[in-house]
Amino acid sequence: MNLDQKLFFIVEMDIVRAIYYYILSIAAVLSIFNRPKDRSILLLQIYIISIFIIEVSALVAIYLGGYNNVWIYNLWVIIQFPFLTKIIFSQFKSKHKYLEKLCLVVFTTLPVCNFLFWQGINTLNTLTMQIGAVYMVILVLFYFRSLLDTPEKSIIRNPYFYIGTALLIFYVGTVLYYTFLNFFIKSDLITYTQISYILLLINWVTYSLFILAILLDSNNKRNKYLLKSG
Amino acid sequence: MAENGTDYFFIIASGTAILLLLVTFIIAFLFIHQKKYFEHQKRISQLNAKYQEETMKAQMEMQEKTLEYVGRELHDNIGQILSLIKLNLNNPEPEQIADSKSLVSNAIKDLRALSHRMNLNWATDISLHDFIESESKKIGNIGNFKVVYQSNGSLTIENNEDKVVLFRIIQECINNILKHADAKEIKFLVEEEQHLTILDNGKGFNLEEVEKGSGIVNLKNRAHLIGAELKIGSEIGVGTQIDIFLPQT
Repeated sequence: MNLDQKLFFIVEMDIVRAIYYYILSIAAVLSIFNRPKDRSILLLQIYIISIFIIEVSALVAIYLGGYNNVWIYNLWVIIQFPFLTKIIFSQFKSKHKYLEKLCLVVFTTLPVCNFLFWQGINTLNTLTMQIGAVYMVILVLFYFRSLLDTPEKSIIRNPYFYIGTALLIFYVGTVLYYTFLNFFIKSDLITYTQISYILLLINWVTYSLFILAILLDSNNKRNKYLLKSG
Repeated sequence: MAENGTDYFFIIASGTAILLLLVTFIIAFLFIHQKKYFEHQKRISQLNAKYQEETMKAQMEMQEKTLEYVGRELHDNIGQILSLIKLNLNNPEPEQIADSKSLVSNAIKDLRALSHRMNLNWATDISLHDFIESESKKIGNIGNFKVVYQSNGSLTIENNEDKVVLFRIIQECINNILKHADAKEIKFLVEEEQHLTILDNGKGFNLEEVEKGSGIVNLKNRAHLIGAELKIGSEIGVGTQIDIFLPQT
């Protein structure tokens, strides 16, 4: 890979990483301009915009002089689980309010405690990522199970099916990545970088599916409007 | 180094296998869900077809009843009046002519009433309250029954076709009471919103035996078609109670 190319505006990076940033940018722009009626899609859009800001901040930190930007990624580790918990729980037909509150409390307190007291600010909070990823995989599988109980609507046009699929792929990939992370770090840097591309490819798929979900929601909204107006 | 290479191969192969399994799982899930979705759609269209069929059947039965009623009215009432007029006109004295004029007026009035009854859209103009009241009056006019109608709540069905089905259910219940109950008193009670009770003090029946027949099943199916629930309770020697719970509007 040629690392000297300026592929994402003024920032030097390889093509795989650049494509990830372009996909994330498209998702962020779409999130800024789309006006969803559904509160959970709005949450997803806010989540995407937050990730975009975090990623751009991390890039700016590198550009300004190679500062340690791990603490910026740790912020993302903290915010993701409450957001995604709200989005997935909103889709369960029978509302589990108590369980939702419990998950929200646990997956807000745990990342904050890890950030402040255990792994710290300047170390990537892998513990939070691993536990959270397993939790998200289980939550999405429960959501898929609940989809089978409600066959009234086709999931082909259901944005939440794509959000669930994106999260499942992303977090299964994350669990695998972080499980073998220590092994990769011990090996040579080139192999580690090559392996980390897999995580970037998973990110491509994840954010592409998020884009698809937002577009579908917008399309469904327009169809409903057309049906209403006649 | 060789050991390291084997480890890499193992990790990458297992990672790829897990991700492939995941993709297979998602595709399989998509297929299973779509299969369930199409089965559900098929079931819905079958239910819709059955509903249409039942509605048509109910409408046909109502038309038949109307035609029967019209035929009877023409034969027994208008025909009789016209025969009287003919008799009067055989001997056209002033008194007979005046009598004939009055008979012609009556015939016109009866024909208008008949025409009103023949209007098949009558269901739109009549409320459930008016319908039950008119049915109560009809039964009361037979003379063998004490009929009570008490209404403390409202009964509403917005869909005209559903309303016709409900009329048919009520008429079927009345027919059953008249035919089989041997009752002296019939009560129509609306004690709460969207809940109609039809009570009689007849001989009652063994619910388990009668439920096997198609009459009660048909009544329940018809109620189910319009989103209502029909419950029957009966005790031999005491009477029968039919509760119809209409969907909340």
